Amino acid sequence: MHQSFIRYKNYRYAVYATMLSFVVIIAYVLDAPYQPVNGGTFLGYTLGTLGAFIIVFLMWLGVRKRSYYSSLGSVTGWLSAHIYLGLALFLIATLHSGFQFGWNIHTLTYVLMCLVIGSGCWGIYTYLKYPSLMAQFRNESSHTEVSENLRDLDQQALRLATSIDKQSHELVADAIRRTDIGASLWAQLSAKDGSKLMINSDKQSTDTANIVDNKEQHALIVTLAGKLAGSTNVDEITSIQELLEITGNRAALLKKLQKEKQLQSLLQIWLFVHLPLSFALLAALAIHITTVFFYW
Amino acid sequence: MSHKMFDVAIIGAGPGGISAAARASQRNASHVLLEASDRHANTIQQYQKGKHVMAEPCQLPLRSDVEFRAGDRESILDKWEQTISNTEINIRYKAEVRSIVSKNDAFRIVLKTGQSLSTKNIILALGVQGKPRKLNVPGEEYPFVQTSLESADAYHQETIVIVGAGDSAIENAISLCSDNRVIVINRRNDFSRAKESNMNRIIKAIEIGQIECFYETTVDQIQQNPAESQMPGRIVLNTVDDVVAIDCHRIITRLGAIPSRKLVESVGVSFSSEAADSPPQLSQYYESNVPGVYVIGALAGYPLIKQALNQGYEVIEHLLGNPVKPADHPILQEKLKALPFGEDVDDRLMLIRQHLRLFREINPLNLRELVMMSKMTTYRHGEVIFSEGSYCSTFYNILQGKVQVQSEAGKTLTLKQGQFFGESSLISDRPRKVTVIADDDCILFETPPRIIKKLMRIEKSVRYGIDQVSILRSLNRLLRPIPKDIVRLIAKQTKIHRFAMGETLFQEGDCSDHLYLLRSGSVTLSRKNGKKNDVVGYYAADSFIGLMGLTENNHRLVTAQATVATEALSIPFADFNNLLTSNQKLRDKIQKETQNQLAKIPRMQAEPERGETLAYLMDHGLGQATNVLIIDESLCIGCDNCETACATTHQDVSRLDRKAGPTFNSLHIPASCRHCEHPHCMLDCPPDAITRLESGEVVINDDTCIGCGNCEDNCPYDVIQMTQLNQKLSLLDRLLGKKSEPTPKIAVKCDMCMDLKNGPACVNACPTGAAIRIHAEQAASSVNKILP
Repeated sequence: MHQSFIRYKNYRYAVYATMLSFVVIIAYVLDAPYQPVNGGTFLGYTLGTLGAFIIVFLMWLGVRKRSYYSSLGSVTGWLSAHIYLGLALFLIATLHSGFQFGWNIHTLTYVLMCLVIGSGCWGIYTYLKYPSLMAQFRNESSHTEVSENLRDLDQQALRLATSIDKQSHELVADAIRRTDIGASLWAQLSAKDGSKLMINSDKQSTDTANIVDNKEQHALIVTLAGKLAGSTNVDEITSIQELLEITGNRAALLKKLQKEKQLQSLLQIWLFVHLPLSFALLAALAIHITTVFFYW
Repeated sequence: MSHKMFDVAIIGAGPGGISAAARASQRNASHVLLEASDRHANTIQQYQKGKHVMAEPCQLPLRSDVEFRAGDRESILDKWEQTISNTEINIRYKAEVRSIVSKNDAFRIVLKTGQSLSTKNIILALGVQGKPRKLNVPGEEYPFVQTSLESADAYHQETIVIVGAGDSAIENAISLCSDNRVIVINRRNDFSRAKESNMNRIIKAIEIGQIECFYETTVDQIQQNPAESQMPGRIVLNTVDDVVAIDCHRIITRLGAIPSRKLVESVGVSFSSEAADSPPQLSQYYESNVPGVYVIGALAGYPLIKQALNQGYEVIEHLLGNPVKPADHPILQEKLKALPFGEDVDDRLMLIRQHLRLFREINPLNLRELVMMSKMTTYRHGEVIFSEGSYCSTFYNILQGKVQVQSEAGKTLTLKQGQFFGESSLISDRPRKVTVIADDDCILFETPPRIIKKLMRIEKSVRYGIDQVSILRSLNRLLRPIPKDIVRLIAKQTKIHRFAMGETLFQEGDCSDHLYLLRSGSVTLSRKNGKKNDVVGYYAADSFIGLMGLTENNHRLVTAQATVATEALSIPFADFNNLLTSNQKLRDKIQKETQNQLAKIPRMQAEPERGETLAYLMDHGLGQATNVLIIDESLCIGCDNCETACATTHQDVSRLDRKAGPTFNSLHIPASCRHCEHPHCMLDCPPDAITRLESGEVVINDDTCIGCGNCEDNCPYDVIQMTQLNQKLSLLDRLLGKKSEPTPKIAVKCDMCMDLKNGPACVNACPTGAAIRIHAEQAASSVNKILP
């Protein structure tokens, strides 16, 4: 039913890019310049110009992606072309260099380009791998359902806690408030559970409170279990048992959400490398082209 | 009061009633306006606070002593209140009518209070809301008991008991529960009376403790709470095993309404059909079959405020012997000008009736409305009226000239004056199957689908006429090359069956004696496999179902279930088999079809995930989608570019919610319009602001939408939102620093980006190819596909 950016229009752009690569290879093999092979020969300049145009086209994806009224093909098509032409670019630029490398701006441009292409390949890998992992992980429940479930559990827990006593209400409300399953990108990537809980160190007084680690809602569970162990009231025991069960479910759901967030951030992290490098490449390319004119 | 004989008694102080009373008072006619409640215009009073009320239809002039202009609910109600107090209208509130008896050319009206009055004429302006059904328990009259909820925002931190389990009870409960303690009293043990979406919402809210519910519980009585002044009420309940008393701030009873029709029928007024929305039979002056009894407004089949106001005025003038031309007269005059026959409006209306045999027996008011809503178009010889494949359900009658109907098989049929066409798409809401071309220069009477469908519901002769012709034409088309006279014989034995969504056409193992030809909707076929049912096929309109029984000693091999509301023609096997033995070509065709259907069964059973996916898609209403957004979750990177694209191209309001909606086997159906075959949203749009374009899109016109919210309520897929839109500003205005004023709340939904060259922005903006928009059949066939 669906056609991915890889298979777009039966590999249309893969075919174009392969054809272009063959033409470039044949031209390189057949070319017999007067001077040593490098970017300065006729073919060298041709390949360089072609490569520069391809780079501009590849960067233009960012513009096309945001031109929502555009009738210039679909973004899927653009991404497909972006990938295959990007891969072909590696060949074109390598042949353009004539394998001459050194400690200069030209090689820097080449290295940046390789890094951009490399990070792009990483992107392809993540786009192909993580979405289906996430789908499997969510197991047929939609995003909205998962967050609604969590909200429902929060409300159920609060309601139960309120019915027990004020202290339990504050405890559960605090646990919900301090639940943190990844606010920063780093926390999301590492799936770090930064949840905390404020616990009164002195049972009699509320003046002295400590904020303790509540990873996987462990501290809350332990506190509730303690309360359960000390309780003699039948109604209260039932309520706390129920609350414990809900807290357990909540911890499990949080873990699931955390894993999903981790996958989501893994899906995006490559862009934090790919995009800055692309702009660095564009700048280096501009310098590379400008300096080349001085050779003339 | 009881000795006086009024010229006219008007029952119901809605717009129609107030307008009639105001006219009567202007003309010094002796009149009385009876209102059951203690306020005027109850239907409008029940609108949400601040709701913008539109003055549709805009082309219709207002003819009334009561002022009315589009505006918010409060200003309109205030104006009417002023009319009532400033003119000498004789209005009596809390004057509920118990009975009406006809006596010597006059009527005796007995009120609930026991008083009675006499009148020469009666105008029934009751509306269709009916009066709220009561609990009939002691204490119902306390001020803390109410029958409606104007605005949920008015109540905070209260304990509110809602009695009832229908849609309005659930909607009230949900809207109140975020800030109040809400207790629902349900007489039954489920919420099956409500819409599915409402049922799911309330069950969930009860599960998580947001709403409390007493099942199988009735109200014993309502008392004043003696103990606490904060909570004035106490409701005593009979639960399954106990009597429970609950203290509360207020009680809302939502037990539905007693339709006004009963009272109207008790006077002897006859209705045109049993259908719930069928209007009474009325003369052109709104007089019923009982002389002296007039029916106006929504109850007469005119749901718009302006129509009711005009009718109130016209009836009084008619009663006083000054019949005025109806307000629609100038519009009809303009419309009918194009006709080459007849002199004035009445003459031309009569000739239309004579020319078009389908409308020969319909009521004069219905004819006026039909003409008002239809178009008279002249086509030149050779001009294409519609082409095969186009989405359009307009219904055509030939007023003059001839047309050629060309089918895909290359057959041509000529239709002449008085005949109609376009009924197939009207019934199935599918694209046109034929191309129709004007043969001579001809004049066609073109009726929008909503109008003709309404007429089919309320005028039996119209339904019968269309059904008979449609059966004959469907059989002719699908049983080709059978001679027409034989088809005619079979048509006589053919019956039309209507199946609701989910209803079973037949069960596996049933004895069978007829086959079905689907003419609208679609069905899934399933077969038992141990304890579960495997889906083994999906068939849409124009398919034969039950062929497999034909070859299997007349026992059904499969179960057939309607995936959406479906209409099917049933043909007895005996007749059909005779037909097959006499016609080799048809036999081959049917055998091939049967072979295909049979071959699918084992293959679908061998790959159950295909059937499961198909069942999932159909369970979520895909059977009626002509264009549905499906996201492949294994490709979706969650970038939300689809939503951003949608919002950017649609006044900053995204018409799709990617995250909402069900998922199965990686196929996610987000909340976004599916452009249904039979759009639920179009069923009840008072200003006809929702239309289906020829290319298939179902679109809402921003300019004519009155924001009533009917479409939002009727959409089973929750894809319509009521929202304010920012007005579009020209570049110059923007440069001049003009700010756009938000519109009143109107209904918005996906319009398939009909203005964009490249098609839907959501699909175009998807980087990975995860989002596609396809027809239900494409989806089904790609799941259903038999591998070579």
